[in-house]
Amino acid sequence: MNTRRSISLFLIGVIITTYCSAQYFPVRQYMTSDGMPSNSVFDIAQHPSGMMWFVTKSGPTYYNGQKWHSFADSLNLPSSYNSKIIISDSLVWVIGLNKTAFTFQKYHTEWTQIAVPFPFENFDSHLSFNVFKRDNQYYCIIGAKSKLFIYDMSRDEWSQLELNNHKINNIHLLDEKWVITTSQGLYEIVNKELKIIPLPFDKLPSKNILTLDYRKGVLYLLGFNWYAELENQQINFLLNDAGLSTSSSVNQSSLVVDQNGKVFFGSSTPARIINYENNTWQNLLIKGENLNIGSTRIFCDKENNIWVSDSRGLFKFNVLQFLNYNESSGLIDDEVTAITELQDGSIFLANHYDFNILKDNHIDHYSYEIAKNLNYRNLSVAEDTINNRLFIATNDQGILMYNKNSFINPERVFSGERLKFTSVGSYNGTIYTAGNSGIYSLVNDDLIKVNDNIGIRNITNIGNLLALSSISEGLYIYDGSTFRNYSSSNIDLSSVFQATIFEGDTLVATRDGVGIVEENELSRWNKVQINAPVYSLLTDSKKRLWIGSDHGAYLYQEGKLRLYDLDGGLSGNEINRNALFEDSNGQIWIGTEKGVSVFIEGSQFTENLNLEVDIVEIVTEDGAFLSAFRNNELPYDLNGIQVSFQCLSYIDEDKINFRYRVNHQDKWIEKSDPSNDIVFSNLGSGDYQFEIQARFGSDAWGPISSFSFSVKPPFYSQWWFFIFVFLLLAVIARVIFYFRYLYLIRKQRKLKNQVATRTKEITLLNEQLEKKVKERTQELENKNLQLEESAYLNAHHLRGPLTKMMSALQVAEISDDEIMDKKLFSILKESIGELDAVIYSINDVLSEQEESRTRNN
Amino acid sequence: MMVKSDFCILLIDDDPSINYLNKLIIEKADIHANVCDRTQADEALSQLSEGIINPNLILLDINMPTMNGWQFLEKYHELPEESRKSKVIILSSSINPSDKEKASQSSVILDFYSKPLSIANVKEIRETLLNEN
Repeated sequence: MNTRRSISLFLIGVIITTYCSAQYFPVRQYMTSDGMPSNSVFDIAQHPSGMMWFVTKSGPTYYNGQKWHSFADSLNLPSSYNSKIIISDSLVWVIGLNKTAFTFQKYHTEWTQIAVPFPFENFDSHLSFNVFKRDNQYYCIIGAKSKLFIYDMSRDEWSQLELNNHKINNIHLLDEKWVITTSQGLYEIVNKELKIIPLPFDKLPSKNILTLDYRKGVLYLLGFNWYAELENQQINFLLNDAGLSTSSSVNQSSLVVDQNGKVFFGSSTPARIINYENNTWQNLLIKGENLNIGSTRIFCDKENNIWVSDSRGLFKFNVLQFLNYNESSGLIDDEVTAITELQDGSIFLANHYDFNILKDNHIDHYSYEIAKNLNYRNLSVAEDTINNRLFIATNDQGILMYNKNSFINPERVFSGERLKFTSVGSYNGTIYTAGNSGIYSLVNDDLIKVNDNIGIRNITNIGNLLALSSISEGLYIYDGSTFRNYSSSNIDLSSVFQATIFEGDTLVATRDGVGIVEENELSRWNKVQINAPVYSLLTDSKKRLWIGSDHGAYLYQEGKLRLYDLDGGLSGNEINRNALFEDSNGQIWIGTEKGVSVFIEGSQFTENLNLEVDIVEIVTEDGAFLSAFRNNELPYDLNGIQVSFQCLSYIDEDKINFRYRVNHQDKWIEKSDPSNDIVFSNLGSGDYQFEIQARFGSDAWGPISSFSFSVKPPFYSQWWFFIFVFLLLAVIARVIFYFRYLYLIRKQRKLKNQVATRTKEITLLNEQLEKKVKERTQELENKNLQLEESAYLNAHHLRGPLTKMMSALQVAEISDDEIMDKKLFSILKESIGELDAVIYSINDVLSEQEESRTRNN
Repeated sequence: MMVKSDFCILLIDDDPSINYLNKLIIEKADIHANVCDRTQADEALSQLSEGIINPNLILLDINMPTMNGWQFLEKYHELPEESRKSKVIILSSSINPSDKEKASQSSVILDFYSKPLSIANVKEIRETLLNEN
C-alpha cells in the first residue's frame, strides 16, 4: 500500500543520552526592584502574626506580601553578614554588627538597645543566636567562637560559658532543652553548665555538627560535609557527602525539615533538598538553574514555603505543588507534547521532535534527528503491549513503530507523500491511526483503512470505546464495528481535541471549551465556564477532572474549579492534547510548552487556603487613627478614611484577591489594583461596617475581617439643631414681635400725644373760634339790637308826627268845630313837617353810617 | 257813673299838640274826667310830689327831653306813698316790644298804649280803672 515506505528512504540518526533527573520547584525571586531594601539577605524569621522578617545589608526589614518596611539608619540596627534575627512570641531580637559596633536590640513596637558588657572582638565574625522563653522569662544566648553569652532579660544579667575552644555552630531548642551544635559534638546547657549529649560518633563521619532540626522524634543533623537522621541513637539515613567543600566561616548553615518531611540544607552553598530515592541531594534550582550559590539561610514558613536568602537576593520556593522537569532539569527539550506510561512503569515523555523515558530517576533521551527537517511533531503515542511495540504519530513523518527493546531506531515507519498521521491509539489490542486520508487499523503490520473520514486529529480510549476527535465534525465513537458521530452547529464546539468520561458523561475538549455528548449532539458542558479552547481532558483515579487549556490546567473537583498555571508553579501554560496523563502510581503528569509538571497530592494548593485579612490601620483624612475617635465616630467634616490591610500569605502573593464593602447590605467590590490600601472619601453620615475578605485565586472567600465606624451627621441635620433653630426662630419671632409691639406702643403713644396736642390745639382753636363767634354773635346781636332800637327809634320818630296826625284826624272826624278844625289843620301841617323832618333825619343818619362803613372797609 | 271832678287824668308829653289832641279825645270819650297836661316830666313830678296835682291816672309819654318817661317812673317810685296814688299808663308812639316788656315789670304801670290814643282806648282805660277800684 502507498502508506508504506521503507525506512531506508531516510537517513536516520538517533542520539541517546542519559540524564540524572532533577526536579525544580516554582520559585519567586525578590530583589531591590521589588522593594526589598537590599539584595544581600542574611537571616530570616517569621513573626507569630505571619509577617516575614529579614536581616539585610540595609538592616532588618519586614514584608507583608505587598510592601517592605525598613527602619531608619539612625537606629544603628545590625546589617552585617553575620547578623541574626530570632522572633520569640511577638518579640523580635536581632544581633550583629552595624556600621560601627556590635549591637543587640529587641523590637516590639520600637527598637530597644540591650547593653552587652563584653568586648566587640567576641562578636566580629562567627555568631549564633537564639532566644528561649522559660517560666515566662526570656533568655538570650549568643554563641561567638567558643563562648556562650547568656542574657537573663528579667534580671538584666549576663553570664558566660566557655566551650574549651570548641567552635560553637548553632544554638537550638529541642524538647525544652537548650542544645548547642559545636565542632566537637552536641551540648546541652543545664543549670548554666554545659553537658555533652551522646551521639553515635563512631558511625558518623565527624563530630563537627553545623546545625540540626528535630521533628517527630527524629534528629536531623548537618555535619561538616555529611548529613544524618537519627532516631533513638540509631542512624536511619546518612549521606557521607553533603557537598560542603568548606565549613561556613560565618555560620550560615541551615537545616530545615518542612511540614511534609522534606529536608533542605545549605551552608554557604546553594540550598539543597535531600533526594531519598537515590540517596543524594540536589540543588534547589531557580527555574532549572543554580542561581543561589551562596545561601545564607533556609527557612520554612507556616505555609510551608521555603525561603532561601542569598547575597544576591531572596528566593521563595513552593515546594509542594508540582515537581517540574524541563530541558534544564533533564529533558531533551522543553515542550512535552504527549505522555504515556510504558508497561515497565517508565514514563514516556514526547518532546516536539524527541522523546524521553523516565525510569528510576534517570531520563533517557532519544532523538530522531532526520525528522527535524520536516513538518514533524510527536503528536500521539500508543503502546502495543501484546507485541511490545510503541507507536508514535508524527504528522508528516507518519507513524513510527518502535520495538520497546530498543528506542534507538523505529522498527518501521508508516508514511507516504502528502500523508499526515495526527493520532494513534490502541483499542481491543488493535492499533488505530488517523490522519488526512482516513482512519486505519494495523492488521498484520499493514495499515487497513477503516473509514474515509479525513478530519480526525486525535484518538482516545473512553471506557470500552474509541473516541475519535474531529477537526470540524465533532466526536466519533467507535465500538469496533460502527462509527457514531456527535456534532454541534457551533463550529468551535465541533472542533474537538480529546474526550473523556467524567461522572458518567462523555466530555469533549473543544475549541469552545468543554463540551458534553448529549443524545445525538454536542453541547456546552455548563458545570464549568471556560471560554477558551480546551485541548485535553483527564478523569483521574480520584474522580477528578483535569482540563488542559492554553492558559494552564484546571482541576475540577466537587463543583470547584481551580486553575494551575505558570505563576502557580506549573512548568508552562499550554497543555497539549495528549499531555494530561495519570500514571499507575496515581501521579498526574501535565505536559506544557515549557516542560512537564508532576502534581503533588495534598499540597498547599489543593486545599482552600482560607486566607484571613488583617486590618493594619485605619486613618482619617488628616492622618489621625480612627481609634482616636470615641466609638469610632468621625465628625461630618472628616468623613474619609484610608484602610490599610494585609493578608500574610506568601504562597503566591500575586494570586491573593480581596473584596470589600463598606456597608453590609452593599455588593462586594473586588479590588483590582495591587495596593493594600482602600480610600473612602466623602462618606455620608451614618453607620458603616467595613468588611474585607481574601481568597487565593478562585478559591472560596475567606473569613470576613471588619470594623464598624460611623460618620456623625453635620450639626445642621441633628435633631437638636432643628430644635435649636426652631427655638431660635421662636425667640427671634418673639423679639421681633416684642420690638414691633414696643414700636407700635411708642408710635401709639406718640400719636396719642400728637392727637392730644392737636386736640388741644383744635380745642383751643375751637374755643378761640367760639369766642370769636360769640364775640361776633354778640356784635351782631348788639348791632341787631342797635338796628332794632334804631328801627324802633326811627319808627318812634316817624310815628310821633304820624300818631299826632292820626289823633288830629280822629278828632277832626268827630269835631264839628271849625276853629278846632283849623287848629287841627295846623297840627296836621305841623305834623307833616315833623314827619318830613324825621325822614330827612333818618336819611342823614343812614348816609352817615354808609360813609362810615365805606371808610372802615 | 263817675263824677267829673273825681277822676283826673294827667297827660305828660313833651309835645303840647299831642296833649291838646289827647285832651280832646278824652273829652270826646265822655268819661267825665278832668284832664291836665304837662310838657315836662320833671315839672309834673315835682307837682305830684308837692300835691299840686293829684290825678288818678297818668298817661305818660316815654321819649321826652330832659326827663324821659322811665326816669320819671324811677323818680315816681321814690315819691312818698301818698304822692304816688296815680295809676300810670304808658302812651307812646313806640312800637318797641322791649318798651312794653319794661313797662310790664313796673308795678305802677297799669298798661301800655301806643299812640294815637283813641276814644275806645280811653273808654277801655276808664273801664279798667273802675274794675280795679
